[in-house]
Amino acid sequence: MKLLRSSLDKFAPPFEKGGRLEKMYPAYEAADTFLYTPGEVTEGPSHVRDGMDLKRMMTLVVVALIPAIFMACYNTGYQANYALKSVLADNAVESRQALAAEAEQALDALPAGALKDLGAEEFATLSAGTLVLDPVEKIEAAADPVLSTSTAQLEKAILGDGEPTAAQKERLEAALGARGAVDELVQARLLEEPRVEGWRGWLMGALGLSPDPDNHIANFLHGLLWFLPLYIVTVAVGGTAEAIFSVVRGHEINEGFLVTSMLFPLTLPATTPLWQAALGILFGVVIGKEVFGGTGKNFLNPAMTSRAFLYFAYPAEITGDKVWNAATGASPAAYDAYSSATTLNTMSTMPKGSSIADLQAAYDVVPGGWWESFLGMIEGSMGETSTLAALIGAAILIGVGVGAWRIMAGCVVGLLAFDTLLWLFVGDGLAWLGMAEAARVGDPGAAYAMYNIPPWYHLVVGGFAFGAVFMATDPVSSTWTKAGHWWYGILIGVVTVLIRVVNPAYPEGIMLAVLFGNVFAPLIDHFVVQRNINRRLARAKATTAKPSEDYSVPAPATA
Amino acid sequence: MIEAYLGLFLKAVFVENLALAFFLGMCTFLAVSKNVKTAIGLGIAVIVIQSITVPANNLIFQHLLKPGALIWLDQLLGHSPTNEDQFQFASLDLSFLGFISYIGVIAAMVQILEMTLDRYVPALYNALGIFLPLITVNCAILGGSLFMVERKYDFGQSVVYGLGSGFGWALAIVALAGIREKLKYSDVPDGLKGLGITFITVGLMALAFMGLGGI
Repeated sequence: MKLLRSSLDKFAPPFEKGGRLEKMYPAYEAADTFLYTPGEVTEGPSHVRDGMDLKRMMTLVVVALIPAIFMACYNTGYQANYALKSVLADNAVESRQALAAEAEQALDALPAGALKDLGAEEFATLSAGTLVLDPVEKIEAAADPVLSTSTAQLEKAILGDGEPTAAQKERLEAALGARGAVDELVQARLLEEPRVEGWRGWLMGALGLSPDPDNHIANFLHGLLWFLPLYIVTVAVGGTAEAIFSVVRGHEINEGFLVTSMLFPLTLPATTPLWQAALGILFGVVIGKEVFGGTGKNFLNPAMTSRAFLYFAYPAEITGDKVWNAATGASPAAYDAYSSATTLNTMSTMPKGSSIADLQAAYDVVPGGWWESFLGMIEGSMGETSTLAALIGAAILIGVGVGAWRIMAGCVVGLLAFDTLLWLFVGDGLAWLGMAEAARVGDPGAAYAMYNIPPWYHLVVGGFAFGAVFMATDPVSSTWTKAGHWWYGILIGVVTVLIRVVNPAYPEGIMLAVLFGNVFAPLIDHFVVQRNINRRLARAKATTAKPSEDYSVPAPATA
Repeated sequence: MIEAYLGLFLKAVFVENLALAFFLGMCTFLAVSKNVKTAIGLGIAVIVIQSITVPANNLIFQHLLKPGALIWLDQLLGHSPTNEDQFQFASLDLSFLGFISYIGVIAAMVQILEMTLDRYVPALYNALGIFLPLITVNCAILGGSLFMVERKYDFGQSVVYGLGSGFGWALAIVALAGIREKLKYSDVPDGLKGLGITFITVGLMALAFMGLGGI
């Protein structure tokens, strides 16, 4: 530690004022503050000091993000491993069907009468050994002498007890040859193992891990190998842009970028091409933040700006039913065979009038139940799936006083209130509650399927929890007044439902809702401040007008 | 009926926002959005003008300009449909007079509004200054009337559309003013100060509004 400090100090002089590399000071300063709490103190006139400095705030947000990152890695790997296994199982079923046909042909090709002598039992054994076993059992049974037993039985059946004749020998040879060909096919097809394509597979293989969804370490590592490249690219590209702006414009490299660079990859599907991630973060950092003067001076959340840019510029890589699973990103075979979709995606493409039960039935890949969604074991952008991780993050943020609980609560209130209305009066809420549907608007069968998702599902599916906890509460782009927090949160909740449910064009709405909230945040603040000013003016007027009569303390402004 | 009108209103406000989806009325949009109070005043002025002129122009289009609109004149004069010499008005197509008629209506309405404001709300009148008369040539206002004609709205729809499109434009300019008040504390590079950063801001706002496209 001492060594680190002293080497930092040794490198300091050229960067300080008057030094050769004076212009590069932000880069040195960033490294220094990242490693140590700066020792500079304020000199000169006193000013307001706040324990909640930007460095502490951003560091705490990073800490609160750890559960989400952990779940992001785990779930990305789990979904990918699950998909690989499931594709393999599908292949095995197909193989088995193909084998059944081939075996039948092979048996048909036997010399006439070869099988006539076989007893029913022997024939069943032969068929069972070749065709009927479950593929997984089949792999396990590969060493098992099922087939050889049946060979013995075959011999016995064809040759009989007495001295074999030439014709009998010929028949046996033909039967064995046919069976052997079938057997080879079985071995070759069924001994396939799930495997990860590319360098990730090599790395996992080197560590002795196979993509098994029941193996937690394999899940986590597989997911990590998808998250890390995106994260590294984000940090490298966004960080470079941030550093260049800092050096040229002479402001410090801000900890805010640490948060942005973590949030952004978490909001992407695992299969996002790296160049797109680079382009996205570049747009977010430069156009969303740096042109306004850096952290604290922008009006949109930079991570959401980056994602929105990609969302509208490259919709094919960030929407639809092929991008969410990492396995389909790496292996063309899996891409063809496996279709992954978020719960909201699936629901938005279901026929009109479908219910949540229909969704669960259709969603056979991973059950889209409430608890799976709550834990985050569903498809989606890497970090957004787990409501639990977001809740832990929220607890940390609120506990240390960084996150505005009013915003989070406002989001939940807005979402629940608005969606309950829609669910009851447009969707099938009244029917679900067993009440008369007289109040229902429109034809039940014609209601867009999203109306039928119960409000409590909206809390756990998609990125709502992640967005409400980490995106909406961004201290820079959200409202600054306490009353404003409520209005801003409610606005985001309502707009989320508006985009998810009412707008059939986009299945997910939290990202655009947060941006929408950002746009109106300054205005909300303006009105809150204005209202307080007016109220105080009125109060001052009232108290000065009647000085002698009213000594009661006026009610404090609640905002 | 109510649902259709509500849908049209929401569409006019959010999806087909004159400022953020069509980028109409940019000159006033950028110039009078420096503070919220003035922006609200201008926004209200635009709502009022828009919700008067669009229905008024709708009536003019329906009953005077569109092909065959003048048939009522024939009927009034008692012309017989079989007599081709008499029955001429029905075949008239005056839609080439559209632009000048609409802009005339708008100019008249703005003049009346200006006098009203001058008389009753002098503070707002002074704050809006030159931009109030400029509403006359604001493309958002004329655009509203032209969209109304192009989309063949009936009278009821044109009332709702006028109100909605005006409200959407007002909402956009007030939000922009809020952001620009906040951006006063930003540290914008010299080359982008003023209009440059405002254009970027408006572009980013449009990005946020795109989420509602498709309702």
